[in-house]
Amino acid sequence: MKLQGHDIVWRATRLGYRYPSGDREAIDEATLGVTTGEIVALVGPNGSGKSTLIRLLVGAREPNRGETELLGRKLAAWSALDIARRVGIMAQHEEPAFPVTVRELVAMGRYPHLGAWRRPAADDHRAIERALERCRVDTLAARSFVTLSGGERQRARLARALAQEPLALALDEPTAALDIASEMSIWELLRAEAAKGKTVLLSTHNLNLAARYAHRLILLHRGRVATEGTPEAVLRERTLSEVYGWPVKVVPHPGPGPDRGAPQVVPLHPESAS
Amino acid sequence: MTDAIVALDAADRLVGRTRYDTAPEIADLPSVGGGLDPSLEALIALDPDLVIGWESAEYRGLRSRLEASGIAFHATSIEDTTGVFRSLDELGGLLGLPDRAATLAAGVRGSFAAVSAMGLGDPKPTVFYALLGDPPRTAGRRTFVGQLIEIAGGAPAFGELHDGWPEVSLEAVLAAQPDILVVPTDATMIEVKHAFAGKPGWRDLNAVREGRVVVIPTDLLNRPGPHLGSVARTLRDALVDVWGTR
Amino acid sequence: MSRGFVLAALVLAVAAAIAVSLRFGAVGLGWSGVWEGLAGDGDPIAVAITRDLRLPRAVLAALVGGALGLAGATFQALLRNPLADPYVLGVSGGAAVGAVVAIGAGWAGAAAWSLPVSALCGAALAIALVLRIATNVERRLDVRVLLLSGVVAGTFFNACILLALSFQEAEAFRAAVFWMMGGLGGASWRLVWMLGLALGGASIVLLGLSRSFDLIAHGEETAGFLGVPVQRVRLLAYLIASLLTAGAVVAAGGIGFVGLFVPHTVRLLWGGGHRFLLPATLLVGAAFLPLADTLTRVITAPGELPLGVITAFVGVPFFVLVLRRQTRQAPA
Repeated sequence: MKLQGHDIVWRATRLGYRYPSGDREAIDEATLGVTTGEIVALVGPNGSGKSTLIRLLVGAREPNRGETELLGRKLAAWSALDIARRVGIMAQHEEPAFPVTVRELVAMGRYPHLGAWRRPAADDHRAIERALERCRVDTLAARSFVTLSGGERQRARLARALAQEPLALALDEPTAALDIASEMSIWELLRAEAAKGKTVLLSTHNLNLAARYAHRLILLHRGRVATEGTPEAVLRERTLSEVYGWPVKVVPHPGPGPDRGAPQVVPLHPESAS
Repeated sequence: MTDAIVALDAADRLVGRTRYDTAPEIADLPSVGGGLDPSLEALIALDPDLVIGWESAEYRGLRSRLEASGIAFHATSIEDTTGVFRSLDELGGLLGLPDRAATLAAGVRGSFAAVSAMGLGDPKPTVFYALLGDPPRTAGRRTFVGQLIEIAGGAPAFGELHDGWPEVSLEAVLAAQPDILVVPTDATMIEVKHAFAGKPGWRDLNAVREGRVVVIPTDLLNRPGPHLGSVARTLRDALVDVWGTR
Repeated sequence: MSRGFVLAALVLAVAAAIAVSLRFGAVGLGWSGVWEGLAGDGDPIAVAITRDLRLPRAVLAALVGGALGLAGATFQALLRNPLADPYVLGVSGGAAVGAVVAIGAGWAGAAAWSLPVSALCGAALAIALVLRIATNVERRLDVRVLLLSGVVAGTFFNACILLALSFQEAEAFRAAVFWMMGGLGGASWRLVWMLGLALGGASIVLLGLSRSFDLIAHGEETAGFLGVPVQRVRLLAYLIASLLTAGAVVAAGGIGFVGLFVPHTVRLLWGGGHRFLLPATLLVGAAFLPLADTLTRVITAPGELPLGVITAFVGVPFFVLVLRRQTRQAPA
């Protein structure tokens, strides 16, 4: 319903990928599209291929089969630098070997625009400051990254992605292992960015928040797209119970707030299934 | 030591040699390895009555192992010419040839006295014995090389520095500007001159620039023994060649 | 204090270190003697000592220090490991084996360029070998395994050197000391030019890669996502670091730990990204080594100590300190 035909950011056709050491396809016949301004959430059990799919979509891995287009051009035709100027990508983990401050971390986001030799100019500094403020880490700018809490770290990393001034964000589990307030602040931030026209593709295990914040969900199961569409279309009790191998019940969000009525998934006691 | 035994006409008493002993009389004997690190197995296999070696840390271990196998060991040390005569004396006793040893020693003393009497004139030229390296090393006053230089009529440069074999930085050599350089090497004079010409520092030595370099085959100067009497002559002749007698 | 100011101050420090190195030695010349010697008038002995011996030696020491510091900083960034250093990783040992092989096989006598080229091949092979040992199936580097591989490779290369030298009895021991502990006694203007050109070219390339280093040191996956061609950068940088190591080894033998503690000192004192870290490391290394070399010439004058003795006395405590901090920060 939100697929409007124009401004397609990602389009992937029948992607297939197997890790060199893997014994099955990590991604199998995956076809999907992401349009400008959308928040699309990749969901599915552990090992269903969410991270792999994101890697394929940002060119970090080459698919064995199928094809990906970014902004209407074949992904293979993009250089890593060209991609980085348009897509802010966040990996699941990052462990710096040497201490960096938050400001240094966020300034890394300017790399694709600076190249090897150019000195940072006024607009680079502006982009950094704006990203720091937007993610509310401006007060932490001088702190060392490793001393931050989990939520602060994710906000700082998101700020780096925003400092890239990208058209789209591709985030691998940006809210994993965060407390409620930290997690909600990330989702709110993403909603605000999407409202300003940024496209957001992310993977998550939090079906309930994905149902409230994402425009569309893509449910992966063993590397295949099990179903995709609006939260209401994807979050069906039967499909989820099958894919996750656990009985669930789907109930409407009780409100109050703008998300009242959004489908919410409640895992059941195993014996209460019928 | 092996040379001394050969010089005592006792080569037939030897059953083994080190890899550096190349005198024709004993070339056919089995080698037991290096002079400083002989093979214990090879020594035991030869089943000698006596092993003669150096007074050093390595030999202390060897000695106890040999004595445990019932083989006698005699340690000797030769730093200077006094040591040469002392070891000759000891060898004479060990081999039961004290008279021959005394004759041989008297001959060497005679050569030393004869060479020493000729002299190189006054003042004595300073002679730098150069073991090349970074930094170079030289022979101190209490080494047989330093004493040979004195016998030949020279004054060892840096001889006072150290009794043994002191390292001397090249710039100290430059500042001292010794009159003559003595280089123990198997290379030819032309090769040595060429090598010096390409080396900063060395080429600035007056002795090098003015051709007062003496090349002595390494064989002659790396083993102290009764042949030193003739080496003293050779060295003196070589020094006279570049210095004359003044 | 601005970064530019620090760099300018470090340039002065290098000049001061070279001056100190010119001033002190086995022979006391005094400042005026040194000055007259350099100017070329005055005592011909002072001229020979300053111009032919001390000046090329001091400049070469500065270049070797800069090259080792830069190589260390590069290895640390690429391997994301603050304990990486050309010596610890066995790269110096590989270069030394290359050099010894070139000398032993007679190539070095036949063509002068074959010695540095052979040393470069040795260094490149060494880092390839160490990475190969340390890289597990998942192609991810385990830091502890990496250090262990470096130690293993280094020990192996030392054995190779001793083996090669044991075939050439005379002076072999002193040659072994040179290749394992280093020394600058062989300094000449030819070596200065050789290493100077290599260091100049390498510095420009590495400075161009410095922003990539920031990102790779931070995390390879993240660096790739920010557009860094990680594999290409790594290959090029390993090659350059091997070149710097080989150059330093050919000029001064195996000198340990300079590449370890010089980048660390810079990080501790000023922090900052590689665009500052690399030039600052180069300069601190270039200031440190002439001073260390001066010590080797003064402590046992007129004899000399191997240079590696001094750098090890400074470097080993540093290594232990960093290792302790590392393991405390990231237990297992």
